[in-house]
Amino acid sequence: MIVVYETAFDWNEWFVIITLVSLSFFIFRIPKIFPPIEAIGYYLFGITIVYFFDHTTSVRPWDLYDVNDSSKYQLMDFIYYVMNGPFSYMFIYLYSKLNIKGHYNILYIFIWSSFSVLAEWIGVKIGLFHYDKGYNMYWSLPIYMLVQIILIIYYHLVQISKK
Amino acid sequence: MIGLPLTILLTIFISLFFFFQRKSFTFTENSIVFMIITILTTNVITILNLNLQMIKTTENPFLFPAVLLYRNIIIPLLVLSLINVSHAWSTLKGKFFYFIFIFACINGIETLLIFMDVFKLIKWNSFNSAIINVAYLFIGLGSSKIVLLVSRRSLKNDSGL
Repeated sequence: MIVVYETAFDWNEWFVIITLVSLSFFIFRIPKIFPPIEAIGYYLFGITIVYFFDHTTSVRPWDLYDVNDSSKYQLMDFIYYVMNGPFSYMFIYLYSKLNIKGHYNILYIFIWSSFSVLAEWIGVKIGLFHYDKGYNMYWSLPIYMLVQIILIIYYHLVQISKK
Repeated sequence: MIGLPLTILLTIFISLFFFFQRKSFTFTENSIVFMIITILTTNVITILNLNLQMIKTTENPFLFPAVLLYRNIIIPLLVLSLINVSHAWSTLKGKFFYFIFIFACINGIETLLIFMDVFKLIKWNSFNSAIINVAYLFIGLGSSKIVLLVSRRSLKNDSGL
């Protein structure tokens, strides 16, 4: 059954658009440290992983939550998935720039995961996510940590493959 | 309920086949094409299932991982196998037959999954599926060319992103 939460073009849509445009603009302004092919990989990683989780847990048979105004897949959902690209790029950009090593990895992942949970909480408040179907936010922290560990492994695999 | 173990088995075979295959693309290039195809298959299956209701994915939560394996690993890895071979082989005949082989693999696995009740075709048929599968292969080949172009330009110019 298709659930429609609202039809207005309001905060959730503006949040997605403003975040995507401002972060993409920011990425093009900051000093470049990766070759374009690598940068595309880090950018795409964020989009792919959020697509995977959302189109796994928010569709039947699990169907735990909905994204944006309707339980149907909409254009704004697509833009929301693209919005995750700059985040994964920035995650690796700062990881590389700050030269994170050893136990600092744990702190770095925890800070980013906490920030992601905060962003998700804002998303719930403005109607970007609807958790009425049974999803709980306490699942999000371990999921973010797991995804960020995979992203760091991906970064190191890319670096190893360059040698 | 044999659908899930069979899909896991197929995923293992295809992953091993790709792992030991001689690659003409680097890890980064392959991973980018993999992600593009994964996004594409996820979109196609969600739109056909949720929005258009032309196909129906299984409602059985224990069988559903078979959909994920097919969507996120089997199709992208078969496309990667094709692009790596297409780039390495020089003869058009060889490339054509490998294309047909991969196309037959994707269609065969899909038919098997329909038989195992992982997918149900409602307002959809095997011909439409075949067209979509050919599209995956061509998009894979096209995106691999673009990725290769960007990769070569990255090496030539030292400008980064």
